[in-house]
Amino acid sequence: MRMDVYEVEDDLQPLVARIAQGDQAAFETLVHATSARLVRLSSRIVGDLSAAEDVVQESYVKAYQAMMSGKFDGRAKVQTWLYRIVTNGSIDWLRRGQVAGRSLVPGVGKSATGAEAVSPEGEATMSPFATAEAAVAAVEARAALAELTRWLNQLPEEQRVALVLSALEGQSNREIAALLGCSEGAVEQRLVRARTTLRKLREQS
Amino acid sequence: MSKRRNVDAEIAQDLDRLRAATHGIVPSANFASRVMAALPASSLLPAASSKSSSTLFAVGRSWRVAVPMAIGAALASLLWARAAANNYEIAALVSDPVQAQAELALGESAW
Repeated sequence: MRMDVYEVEDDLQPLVARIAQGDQAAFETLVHATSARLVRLSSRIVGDLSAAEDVVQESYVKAYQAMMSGKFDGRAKVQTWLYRIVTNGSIDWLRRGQVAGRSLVPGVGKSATGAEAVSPEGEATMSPFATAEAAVAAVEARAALAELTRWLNQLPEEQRVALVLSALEGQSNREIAALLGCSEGAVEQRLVRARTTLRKLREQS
Repeated sequence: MSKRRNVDAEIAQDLDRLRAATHGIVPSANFASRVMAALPASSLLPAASSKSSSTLFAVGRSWRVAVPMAIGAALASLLWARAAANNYEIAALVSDPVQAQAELALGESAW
């Protein structure tokens, strides 16, 4: 099974030139079109939604500055470029060993349906979910993320990242090698080691 | 061997289940606004102006280069203006000496 790496099929390349001219609305469009995909990617790597949002936000700021200074010329696909920035940002976050600030337990910080959340300042914010089903799916996703994190926390960082990109993101070994700046052989080795570790843990339990 | 294969299959199934389940992860409702608010103010300048200023900066990065270049350019334009005036005088004198002399006289009085 080969999943599409990017869900956004729209051509976002024209936005790059507009952003370089200081068009903030174009950048906001880019954020709306790519943020769900990127937050999901980062969540799977760092294992925490709040931390993932911080990583992605930081990545967007870096991307914006690069576009404004002409460092990104638009020859590469903008989604690919953002995906790479967020992957690296997530790895950096793991290396810094930052502690998550928000609970992973579903329902904490959100109402049961996610229909309305209350900010720490006590202000009600609109729900990001269009339907109750979507809200339930989000709650289930957070629970699954917590379970995934318990698994992945048992792996060294290199194996963890390779496994997420391969098994959850559907990337080929070649794509992972390009993203991480290593050889395909190194990726294969990390995946074999990750699966061996998980097998041993499962056998022990 | 069979047990190991079973364990591998279980792991693969679990990973697939977690992949599907975490597909529902969505950012906070105000995430895009948060990102936009985090953009540095200094980078809100249009790229064109920042690019041209950086080009100018690159050219004038060293005053040792920029100052002689500016003096050279000023001298060159003075010489060009003088040569152009001489050429006008010469051309005018050749085509219509009387008229040219009158115009030159008018020009001198205007100064």
